Amino acid sequence: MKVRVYFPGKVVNEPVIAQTILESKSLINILRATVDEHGGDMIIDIPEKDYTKIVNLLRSRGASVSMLEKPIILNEEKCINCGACISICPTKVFNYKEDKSISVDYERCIQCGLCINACPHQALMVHRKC
Amino acid sequence: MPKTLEEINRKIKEGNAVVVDAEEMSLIVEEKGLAKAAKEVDVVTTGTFGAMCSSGVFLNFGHSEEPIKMQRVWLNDVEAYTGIAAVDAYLGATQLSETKGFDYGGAHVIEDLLLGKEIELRAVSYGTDCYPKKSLKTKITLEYLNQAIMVNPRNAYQRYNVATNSSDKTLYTYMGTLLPNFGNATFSGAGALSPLCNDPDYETIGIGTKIFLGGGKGYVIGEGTQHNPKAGFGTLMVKGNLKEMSAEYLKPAIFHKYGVTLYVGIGVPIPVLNESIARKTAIKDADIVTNVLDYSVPKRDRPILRKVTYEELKSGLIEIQGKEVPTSSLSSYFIAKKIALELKNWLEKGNFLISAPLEKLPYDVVFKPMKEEIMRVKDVMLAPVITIKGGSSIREAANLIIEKNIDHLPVVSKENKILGILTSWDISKAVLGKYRFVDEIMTEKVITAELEESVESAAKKLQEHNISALPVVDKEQKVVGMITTSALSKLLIK
Repeated sequence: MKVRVYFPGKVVNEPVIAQTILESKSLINILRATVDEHGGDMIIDIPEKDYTKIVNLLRSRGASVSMLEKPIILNEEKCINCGACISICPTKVFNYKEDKSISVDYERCIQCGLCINACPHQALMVHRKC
Repeated sequence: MPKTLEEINRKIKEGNAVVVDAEEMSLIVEEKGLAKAAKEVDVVTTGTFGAMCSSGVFLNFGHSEEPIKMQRVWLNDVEAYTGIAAVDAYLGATQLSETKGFDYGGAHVIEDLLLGKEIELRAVSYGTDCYPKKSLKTKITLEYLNQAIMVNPRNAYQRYNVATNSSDKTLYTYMGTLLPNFGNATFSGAGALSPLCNDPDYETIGIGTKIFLGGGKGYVIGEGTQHNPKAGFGTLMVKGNLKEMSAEYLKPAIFHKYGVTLYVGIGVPIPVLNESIARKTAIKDADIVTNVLDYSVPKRDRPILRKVTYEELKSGLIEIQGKEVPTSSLSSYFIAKKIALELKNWLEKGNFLISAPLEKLPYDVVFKPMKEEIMRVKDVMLAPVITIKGGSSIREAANLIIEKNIDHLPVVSKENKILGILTSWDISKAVLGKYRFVDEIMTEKVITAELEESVESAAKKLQEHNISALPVVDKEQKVVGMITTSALSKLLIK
């Protein structure tokens, strides 16, 4: 399952993820990360069974964590079902349904944001909450 | 047994015409055979919904109390062309707002008009005896306009090129965002549902053909600009009354870092007069071939990387130079199909008759490149050029550079084909190392110029790669000249 982790600037110099991996003994996969002196913003993929353990470890080190349930929002009023989002997406979130309208596989999204500007009709938004 | 248009229209009026969309038609022909399909089906409907930049609306605002001869006019800060009569203007879909830039343009004004929103109208003028007013600012809505006539100079391309990008940079184009290293490929057009693909010889579509345009009825008023029938790239010029249209079938779009455009919905009914027309309307995506072009080449004639069918494009993956490349459609097949079905509905209800074209669309025209005088690389390059053969010693190279007083020395094969390039800096570097042959120290990835390339394009390459010379090669990669920054600067002073 995918989780969004946010670090405030004061813990940027600490190996938060590495310590969490060592202590939880869980395979954490970093899908996307932006880190600078102001803080860090990460999308990680973790085994579902370790969710509580990992979240507690991350929180105890000053990170805030939220589940990525609907990482991307498709505005159906604006979407014309062209498919411009399909080939731009590195994780194959978008696809055609039988009737050639667009389906969204939310599970796959890593919030890279490439599709946002590639949509000619401004129908896509990244969901950010933390 | 051929049918006449009168017979078909009579059936439409009586409410018993057999109408199918182009997708269904190919299945019917496959299932029942050509003869039976031609006999049973009266009309085939087509549809397309994609970005059609060459679109816009003629507006007549009526006269202000103190009359004005509008010299320049803006609608929500988007300028419309008013080099016509006093209160007439043409609002182009791609014109950008002077205050909002890429975020709002002519296409958005068209949408706001359709949605019944108020639009700010501003105009300025020099003032005349008959039109004394010099400036004007008011609010208008579609309802208050005398006319809002959509006239689109080029719509409904028969098919369109596929865009991809071989360079290492992301490109932002009218074909959408193109990821580096063939990261994706984009295409446009509804394929087998596209109007002109179903009547490629323009037997039924011509001047005066009544069509579905933006949710209302419209007409084909001639061939579109850049109409190129022999290459299979025919286009249509269309008109219709904006007041009868719907925002559902006219949608503004923003192509990131490119600009604004309008998605236009067009549907054309094709009367099945005979078996030949039935055969053409049974076209499938697999029968429609187009070209995959490399948009990273900033030239008019971009290289064709391969041919591809719409069936392959719609599969979501095509192969380009050994790489699996994901494809995306920029036009909406979903809405194209909806248009074909809506048009079918109109015909079945008997309130839309098919008009015979008054005149055929031209088939004997070509789409010519722009006439311009450009300076080409072959006109300004230095030639003959001093080169050195691969396998020569560094000492020989050093001698040549000093003797001939040059800075760049292309390394070539026996056949004079480019292998690499040496600069005096490379030679100095070699002195510090234990190198013996030119091949060991030359730069192998040489940026070259072509004979027919424009000097401007060569100059851009020099600047982009921060280099001072480009070997000029012919089609066989043989070195035939040299372009240098010092030679180019001399050109300017001359």
